[in-house]
Amino acid sequence: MNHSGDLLSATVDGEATTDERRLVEDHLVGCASCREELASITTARAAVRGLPMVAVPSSAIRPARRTLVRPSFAWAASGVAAAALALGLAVAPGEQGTTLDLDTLRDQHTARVVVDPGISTVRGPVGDP
Amino acid sequence: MSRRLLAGLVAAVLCVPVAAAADDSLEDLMENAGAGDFRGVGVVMCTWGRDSAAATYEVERSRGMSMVHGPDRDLMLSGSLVAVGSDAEWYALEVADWSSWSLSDRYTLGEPVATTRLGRPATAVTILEDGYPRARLVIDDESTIPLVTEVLDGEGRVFRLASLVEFEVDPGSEDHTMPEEYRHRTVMESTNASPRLPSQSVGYRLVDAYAAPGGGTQSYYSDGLFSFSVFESKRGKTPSEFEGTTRFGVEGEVYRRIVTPTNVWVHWNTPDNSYVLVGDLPPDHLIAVLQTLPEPGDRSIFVQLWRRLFG
Repeated sequence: MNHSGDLLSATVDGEATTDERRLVEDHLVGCASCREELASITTARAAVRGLPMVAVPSSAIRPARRTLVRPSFAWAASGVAAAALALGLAVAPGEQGTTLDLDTLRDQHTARVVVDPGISTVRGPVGDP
Repeated sequence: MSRRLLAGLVAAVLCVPVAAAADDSLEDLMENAGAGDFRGVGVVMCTWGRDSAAATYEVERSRGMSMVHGPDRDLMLSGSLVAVGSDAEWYALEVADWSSWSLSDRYTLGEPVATTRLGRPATAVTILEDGYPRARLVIDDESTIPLVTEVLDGEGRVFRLASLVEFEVDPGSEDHTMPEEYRHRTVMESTNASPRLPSQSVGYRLVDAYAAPGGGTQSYYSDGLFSFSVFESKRGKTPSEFEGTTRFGVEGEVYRRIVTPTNVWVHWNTPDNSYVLVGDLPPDHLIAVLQTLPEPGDRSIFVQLWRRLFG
């Protein structure tokens, strides 16, 4: 068996099935690192459970309630965001850089080419775009 | 240079045995191809995958000046000055400074074979790349002008062919002069190379860098036989000429391509920059070169929105 991982937490929380718990127990016999991990989980849980209960002020609850969103509203918000993104891409101007003018590029290339020797009788471009 | 001297020169260049054919012979051949006065009418065509293009042209060279009449514009070339336009209006570009030309040592000259072309004595030669044919030329013996130029792809198939169908040596036509007035004249000044582009790219050397429109840079690469420029600018709209053109993939990256009779054009964007490559390099070279350049990439949807809204 591999290291128990999440099964350890489930066992400590009492959420593991009987078979899973038995599997973990068998593994713990021969695995020091999992025993160590089990000990630290148990200690952490005990520490958390030992903390005093504090009453939460009502002012803290209201904003938390506001963040609760019904799933249908979340989908609607996602849809609006996607639509805005698509609209932005569609409406906003496209590429902002300079569009290359092929005539100018052709002439610049030709000007440099003809300085060198060449085997062709056609030293300039013929029928270029 | 007199015809007789040229004839002697080409004979000396082309009649060397194969074993002794080295860079020097090929360099001489290429330099001589640019000398001599002639007038011709030619056809140039290119087949690249499913794309193909062809055009006719008229070319005349006299006293160091060349005129190329193409299907949609004319060019006048004199030294480092290029005039573009027509009888009605011209504009000019001039390269202020440039690095010296050199030929990659991967190219050698094959054995010359006597032939005829257009009823004239000529010599057929093959340019080899690492021992494999890369180009075949038929050179007029008298003038050293290439009458036919075939460039091969990586599998030995002709992908570009330029052939003169009319040819006249030293036609004695009236002197041409460069236009006296230009609508505008651009001087191409050297600038710092882009830090995103390599100084070497699979046999090609970054030779020069120039300022390009829109605050971008032009990086000019050459291996002495083929050349290409990579134009880098802040990311912008895709040029309309590339819309609907062939998309092709290299190692999973997607580019757009335009094939013209004399050049291939490639466009792609990275998240921050736009690139256009233009040059006469063969398809297999192009594939290898693209893998050394910045990879295509897109912005995340949020970056796109941010840039669209706030620049």
